[in-house]
Amino acid sequence: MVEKEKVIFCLPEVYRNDFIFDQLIGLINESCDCQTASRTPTIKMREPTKTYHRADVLWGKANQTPSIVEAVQFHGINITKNDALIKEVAELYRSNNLDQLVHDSNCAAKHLQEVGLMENATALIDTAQSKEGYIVNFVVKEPKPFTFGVKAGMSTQGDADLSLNAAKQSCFGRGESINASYSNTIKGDHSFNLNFIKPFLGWQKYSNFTMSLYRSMAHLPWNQSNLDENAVILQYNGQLFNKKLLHSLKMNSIWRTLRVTDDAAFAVREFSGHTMKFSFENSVAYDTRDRPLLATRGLLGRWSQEYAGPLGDHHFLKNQLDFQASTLLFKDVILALSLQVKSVNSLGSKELHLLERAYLGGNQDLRGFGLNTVGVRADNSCLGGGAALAGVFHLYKPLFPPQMLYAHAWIAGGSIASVRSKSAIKDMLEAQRSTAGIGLTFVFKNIFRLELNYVHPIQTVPGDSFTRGLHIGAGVNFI
Amino acid sequence: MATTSSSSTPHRHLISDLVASTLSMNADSEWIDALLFTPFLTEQALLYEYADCLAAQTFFRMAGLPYQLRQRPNVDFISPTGKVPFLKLNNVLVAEFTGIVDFVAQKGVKLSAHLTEVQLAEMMAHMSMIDLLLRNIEIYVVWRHDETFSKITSSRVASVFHWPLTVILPRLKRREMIGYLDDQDWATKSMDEVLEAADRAFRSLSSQLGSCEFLMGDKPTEADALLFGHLYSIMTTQLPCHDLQNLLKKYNNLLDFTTRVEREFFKR
Repeated sequence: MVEKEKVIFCLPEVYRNDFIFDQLIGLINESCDCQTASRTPTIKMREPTKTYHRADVLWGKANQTPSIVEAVQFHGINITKNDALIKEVAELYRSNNLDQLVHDSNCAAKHLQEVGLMENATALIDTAQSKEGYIVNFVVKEPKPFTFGVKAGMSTQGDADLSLNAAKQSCFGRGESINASYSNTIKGDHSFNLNFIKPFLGWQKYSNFTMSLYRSMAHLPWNQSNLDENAVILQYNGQLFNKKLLHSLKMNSIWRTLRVTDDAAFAVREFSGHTMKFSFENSVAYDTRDRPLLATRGLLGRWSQEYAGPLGDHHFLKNQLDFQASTLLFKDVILALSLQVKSVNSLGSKELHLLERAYLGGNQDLRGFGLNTVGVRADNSCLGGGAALAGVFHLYKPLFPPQMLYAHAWIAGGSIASVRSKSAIKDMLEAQRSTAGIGLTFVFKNIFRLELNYVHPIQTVPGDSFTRGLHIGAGVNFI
Repeated sequence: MATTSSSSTPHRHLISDLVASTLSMNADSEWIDALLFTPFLTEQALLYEYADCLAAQTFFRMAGLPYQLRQRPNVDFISPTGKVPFLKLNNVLVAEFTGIVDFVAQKGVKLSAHLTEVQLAEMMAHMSMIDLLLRNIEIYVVWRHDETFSKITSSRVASVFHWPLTVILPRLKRREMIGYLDDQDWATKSMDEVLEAADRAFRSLSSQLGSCEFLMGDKPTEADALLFGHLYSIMTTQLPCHDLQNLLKKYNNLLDFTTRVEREFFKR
């Protein structure tokens, strides 16, 4: 049993190092108007003197200690709305033993940060007057009211650009955020992105509604054309089946302008011009990976469909299956397998639009091939296909710094069937491509992944754009 | 003659140069499967586009070259110069009436082969007058004249798109075309000034034609194909403003020319 006088200091897991611990003590001192601050975890509070401890002092030992939450207090609230806070912490009143209370308070603090209500949140559990009563204090720091940034850079096509971005987090006091960015290039192209996210608040609820409005410009080297897009996208992200499955629904309405260059084949030219795409996407995923960019263990299974029609110029049904599995082999070697299957079927009488086809090749799937160049070609342009399959076996061995740099060996295979294919499976079996290679993989948090590979061909088809040698790949969507 | 005499930007010239160089390289390939790409003529093409597409067809018929017509909603994007119509012969794309005429000439087919140097220069002058003056008049009526734009042009441009592009694109295109007219010092002209210019053009063409069967005598030339394309389009296109048609009706020999060419090359 734990002594009643003891006051528990409950730290979110991420803060379990002494440096941040000291900073937090300073923060608490400020918010509690303490007279004396100390560099040790023991500090003096107003009256009476209280001693704070880390949560792990009693974590796991107090599941028999009854607890009644008398109050939940927040320190540092300026803009956050009361009803938002109530939704977030109401569950704490249900906890009936101290262990659960410590755990739940920690979860609540973590959730407050993850949904964007708070920039920092720490739960402190204090004793109350009654015998089994406790008061939960949250020492919080709200997000900055407004952020603004200016950036000048160089695009991959050698065009200088200037971009401005502005953001407001928790703008209406319920975790909503607005992000806006605008960039202008020397050539005179301008693009913007306006993003609004509204999280649905509640106990351990991870769902939100997103609205994006953007204008973008892209060069598609495989089609030798340029694409301008103006889009409005509505998206809902949530969970299904007792939070076991991730679920997202998306509605796209995109005005696209495909402009071909002088080198583009006639088969590409035919698709140039303005089109309007209205589509719905639905995606269900089971994800237990510990890190999306390079998982050490875990599984991912995702099934997404996209349906376009009857509004707009595009009529198709797209299906995509993703499967990834990772496990530790020996002591620290990671064995991973990734598979991706895509298929697109045209639903109208018109041929499937070039931009909606399945593409394969590049340093993120079938390494060693030019980006999106596998399959039917006309002159120098690639026309994509109606179905594509790719799979990669990986072996990773961590180097220094750990969790960042890995030695990497892999073997990748894939195939694509043309849009007009009568039997996609037969066509794919007939034109298999595979490559193998070794190299280095660098992963930076969940932000990006960089691969440097020496690639060797195993199976190619005449006409493929394949080069043996060193390849660099960067991005987030590796299979 | 430049491939794109009506082009306005240096960029366009560059493209036409590229096309011209491809022309000379491929000029000896054979005349098989010639495809003429046009917008949807009955629902989409605007007055001056219809005129150019018809002129190209007339030219092929006069020269006895077989061709097939392909109508596409995005011909302006497929075309190497962004203008309609264009000819596809194997892998070669040649845009606009004058470009097509030059291309065919390089293949050794010339309607004007019988003309003297002086007559040839005269014919060129008539062609560029039709190409510049008459087309600008048509562009002015189609895009600048408010009633024509709101009743005819905007719905024809929108006919191949879905909402909201049906609202956005006619306006964007109008801004672009008024910019083009502005470059030619046409945007600020009044309707009366434009009609006066049209009257001058018709009068000059009418006096050149005189009582002859064709502009340059008794044999059809490239200039006749172009002239027929424009006159026929002006006569048959229903527009809110009838002024252009009424002007043309004053010149009987031009009307006779139109019916004659139609009868001779399209109704046989």
